[in-house]
Amino acid sequence: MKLYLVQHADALSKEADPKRPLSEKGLKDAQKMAAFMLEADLTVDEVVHSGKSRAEQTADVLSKAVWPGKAAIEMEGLGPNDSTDHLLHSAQIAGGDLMAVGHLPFMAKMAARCLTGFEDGVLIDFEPGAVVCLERQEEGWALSWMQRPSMVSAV
Amino acid sequence: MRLLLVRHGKAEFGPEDADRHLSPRGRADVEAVAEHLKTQEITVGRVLHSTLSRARETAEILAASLAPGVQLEELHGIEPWGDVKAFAKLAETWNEDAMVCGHEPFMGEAVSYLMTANAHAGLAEVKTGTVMSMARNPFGDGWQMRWMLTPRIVRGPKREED
Repeated sequence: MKLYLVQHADALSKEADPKRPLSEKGLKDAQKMAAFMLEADLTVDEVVHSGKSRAEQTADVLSKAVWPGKAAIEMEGLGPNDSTDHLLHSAQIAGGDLMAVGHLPFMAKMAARCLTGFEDGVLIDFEPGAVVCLERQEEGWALSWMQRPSMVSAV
Repeated sequence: MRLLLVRHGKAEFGPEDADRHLSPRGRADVEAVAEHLKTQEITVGRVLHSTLSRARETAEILAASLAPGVQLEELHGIEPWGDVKAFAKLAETWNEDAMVCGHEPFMGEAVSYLMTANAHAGLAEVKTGTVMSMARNPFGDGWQMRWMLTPRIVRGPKREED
């Protein structure tokens, strides 16, 4: 059972567009990450996002690679400053691999909580579009791999 | 400063643990990771490896891509059951980007210790041929993970010919 924590890709500023959709760079970065995972032949059993445009768009692009034929689902409790309780619970009861697309600081707290039991401590250096794969162990979770758009070539 | 922590590629079995060599699959795995990192123009100024053959051979393959012309250094104390605290202390003194090739459980303990000061936190499942990039934490003590690549991720799933 794997849990993928994804920070939405680069988005427009609030000033440029109040809805903050992905920027051109963000869209390209999400596509690069999708291509990377497609090449690695990775699939998941569900993709969820926070409901904000930048997370939904990122989730849609990634879904095409890892959850073909399905549309990413909006999930509560994935907002930037939400409690990590809901996602942790969902991951613990999930029957398969789950990918969650959201925001900082939520994703950093979630990664820290899965790895150490505590939300504090910024153990992972996220960047927009980065994907962190955790694998459930007998006790807790462990890092399996991590990739970031700046480490993947253009499609 | 970047610290690249590496677990050697898959090795052949042999009577002498210190002199076990990479298997063909182990070699291909490390070559694939090296190729990916080369494409991303990752370079390091220093390459260190443990006293065991499989770590040295792994370092040689990666160095050819990431550190051409750099003289490999043998480092004592990073054998499978080496002292991670002593190693972390040493790494703190380095200024140049460095790659260190070693073993489990040492590398898993080292990465856990660098991130949380607890060597036994079990933070990473470090498979053979994995490379982890660590950087100093700008928000506090310790180190953060930047990326972690495994042969499975850069090569795709096992293929028929393997």
